[in-house]
Amino acid sequence: MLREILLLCLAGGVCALDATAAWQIMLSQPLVSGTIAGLLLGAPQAGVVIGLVLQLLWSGAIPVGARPLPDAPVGSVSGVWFTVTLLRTSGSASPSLCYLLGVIAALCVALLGRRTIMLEREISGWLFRRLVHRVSSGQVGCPERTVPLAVIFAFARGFLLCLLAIGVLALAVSLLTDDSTLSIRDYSLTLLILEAVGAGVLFSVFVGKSRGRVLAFAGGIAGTFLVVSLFHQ
Amino acid sequence: MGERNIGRLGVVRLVLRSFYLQAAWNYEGLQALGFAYVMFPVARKLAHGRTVAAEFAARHLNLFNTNPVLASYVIGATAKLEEEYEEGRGGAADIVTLKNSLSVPLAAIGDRFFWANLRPLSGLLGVLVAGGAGALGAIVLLIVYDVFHIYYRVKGVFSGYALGAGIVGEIAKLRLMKLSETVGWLGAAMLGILLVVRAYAWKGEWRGEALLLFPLVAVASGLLPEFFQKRITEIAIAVSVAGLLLTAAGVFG
Repeated sequence: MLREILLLCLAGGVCALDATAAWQIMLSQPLVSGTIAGLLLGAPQAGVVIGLVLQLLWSGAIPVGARPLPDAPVGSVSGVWFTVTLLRTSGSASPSLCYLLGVIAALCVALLGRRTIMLEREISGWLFRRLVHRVSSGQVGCPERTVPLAVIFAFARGFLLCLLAIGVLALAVSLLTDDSTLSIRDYSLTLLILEAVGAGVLFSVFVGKSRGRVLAFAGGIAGTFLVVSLFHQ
Repeated sequence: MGERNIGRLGVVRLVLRSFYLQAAWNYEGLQALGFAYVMFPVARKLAHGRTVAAEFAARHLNLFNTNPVLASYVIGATAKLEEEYEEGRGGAADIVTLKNSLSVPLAAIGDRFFWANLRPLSGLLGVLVAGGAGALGAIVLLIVYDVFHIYYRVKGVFSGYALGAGIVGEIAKLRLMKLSETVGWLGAAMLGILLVVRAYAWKGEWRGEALLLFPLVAVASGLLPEFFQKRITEIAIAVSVAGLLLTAAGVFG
């Protein structure tokens, strides 16, 4: 259990690094970080389901300008942990409830993470001012040491936030593992609506008010409907 | 006097360091500290003496911000100009001017292609594949995005270094604006496919509520004003909690 949590926090830290501080090879995308978390927990399907919903919701989150985005990687990793733990511990709860609660947890952690990203930027600002001061007072100054330090801060932020989130969510798990009739209901329609809201984000990105693209979009719907109907029959 | 160029290995080092351009992103210098870090091996090779090295650092700690992928063109060209400056050709002001003049158009082109189009498209394709093939979706997302990402990172530094100030002409020839348009069209069609596939996948058969609800909610939320789009996380929490309570109450689902 502890080894699992440690691995997850490491994954959270690495994926958080990828969001801005290093590489940007898209490990930080929810579908990727969620899948990694699912694989680490031995439940890839849970990772994919949570990652898929979050990927759609945050597909329009563009890292342009100074406004920090929700911390998608840490949110995804902790949301997957919450889902998998609920699936393991609450015997009678429907999987759809576990998934929905995992998504809610991920969204809340990501919002909290946004605050810590601002803190990380403040620390980077302090490192920058210190270096500029050294250079302007005639010293060579060394970004060679400053930048690795900033990378370590970014990783530590992701790691610690993940650990904190898992700690808080672990308390919630114990509250949610009763066998009430509410927990056996099918919550998958809400998940579907969440996916649709996420698809709406993609609609505004790709289609918007362009008439031509509306046609491409409608063509995609009609063509797929026909193909799926043929296979269905 | 040592050799006055950074060599092929030096350029490779610039490529590797360019992945850390945003490592110390901050509100004062934006990517300045990262840029100084990327250029540091050049300083070590060329800027001998304390004063020259301090001047070099000061030059690259100026405010800098552009698209992190296409920043590679600026990195390569700046390294070349630094070499020329050390050889007595060109001035320090030329280096700063080149950096500043390239950063704005590269930000416009790069942000539009990588952030506004390619990243959502790779996510969309990843989701489409993940719906049927699970973890493979994440791999598809990574491949679709990173083929372009890594190609432009490497090509940018090498082209910039080869052409120096002449990189301006090369950037003008970049076809990323046209490619953004193509990716946008592809994204629109793929989104149509995704809506039907996900609606069908809900219960593995045609269900009226999914077929009607899914596209309707998607289009309606897609047409929300920008203010709401920026608050998508908060909106998603509200929708989830409302759905949870309504389902628990037996009204929904």
